[in-house]
Amino acid sequence: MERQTARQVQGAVDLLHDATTTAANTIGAIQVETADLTYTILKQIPVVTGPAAAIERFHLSITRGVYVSVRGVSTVVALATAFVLARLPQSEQE
Amino acid sequence: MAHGSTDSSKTSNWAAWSISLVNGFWGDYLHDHGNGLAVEMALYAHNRPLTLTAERLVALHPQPSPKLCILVHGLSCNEHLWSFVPPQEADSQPEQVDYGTLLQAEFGCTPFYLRYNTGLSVAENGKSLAILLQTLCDCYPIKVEEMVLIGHSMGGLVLRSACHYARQHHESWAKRVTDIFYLGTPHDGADLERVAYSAAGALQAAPNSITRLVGKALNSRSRGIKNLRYGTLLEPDVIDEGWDDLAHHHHRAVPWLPHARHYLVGGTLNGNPAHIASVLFGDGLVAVPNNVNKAVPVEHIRLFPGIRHIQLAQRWEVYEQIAAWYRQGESK
Repeated sequence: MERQTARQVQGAVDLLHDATTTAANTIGAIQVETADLTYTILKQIPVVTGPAAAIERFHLSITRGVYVSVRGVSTVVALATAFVLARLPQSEQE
Repeated sequence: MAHGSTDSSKTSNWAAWSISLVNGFWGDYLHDHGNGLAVEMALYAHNRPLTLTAERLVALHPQPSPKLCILVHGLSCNEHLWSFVPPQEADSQPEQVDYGTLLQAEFGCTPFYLRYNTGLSVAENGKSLAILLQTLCDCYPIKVEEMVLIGHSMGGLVLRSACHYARQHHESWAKRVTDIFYLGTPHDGADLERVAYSAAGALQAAPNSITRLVGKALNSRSRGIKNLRYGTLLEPDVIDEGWDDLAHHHHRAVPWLPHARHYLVGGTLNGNPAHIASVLFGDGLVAVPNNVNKAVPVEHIRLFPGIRHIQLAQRWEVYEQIAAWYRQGESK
């Protein structure tokens, strides 16, 4: 593989990783912010205060887990690509 | 520039177009983060950057001419933009040409094609181009006597910026520039970017996180695109009037290269230039050249009704106009 092509493949994977991480962080924050409004209202109602708080904790842990997994898979793919590309024989162009 | 039509060259052209597209939108991010997709500015031949040495230049052009023609593409494009099939007789084989090869055949100008990261600011690209053209002149196997510059869209702004920085640093190539052709160049800015700027501001100001997210995504567009709002040619640090007067700064701060002949070519969406679509949207991306500052003589401006933005770089009738102007300039 040409060195330039390898750099471009790594660049594409890095860009995808950056985009995935940024999207996961931003969308995760929006999801938590949106859910927060609902739980705040529910927690004002005496009958459901307890269950609402428990569900909120459960919901937040699942949400965070999903986004951590997304970021983790993305990081693993980026690192694996770098590992493979570094071991492929590369030639200079021209 | 001859482009092959083999499967491998098609794949490589497709990859080059994809990378150029990404560079147009996020090229500044790629550059700032050292990403391998960031395009390094270079003159390209056969999909490869050209090493600027006399040997390589002779290998590419065995009979170099003292007249050079430099073609500079626009936003999110690359040197493949220039290729087109000219009108021909029915029984002849279709052959790709471009304004560079046509000028070479007719006037003996040796063509060179620039590829650059269009996501960087116009000024950053202008500075790099000024240095690159000086290197080209220094390495060129014979003395360069004349340079013809052709810029499509943002490429025209980069050329003006490069000429400015070359004059500022007393680089000799700028003195050899005789003619500059601007094809669909937004000297006064592009309305589409002004709409994007306003939309991004409004969306980010909205009291809703999803709307703000959309605004933030829209605002992540590159410095190069943002420069198209007013056709900004210089770095902000040299703007002495301050940000408030950014809209009109470049007209005063960057004079058109004084000794060169400048030509403006524009297009319109509709065959009738008075049609509402043509008046509002120009060639689809850039408004009809209005020459507010009378920087260019009226006879050096030509409007091609019905020819859209990208087509300005790929039409026989546009080449004929360029050739006619060049012939006229040569005879003076």
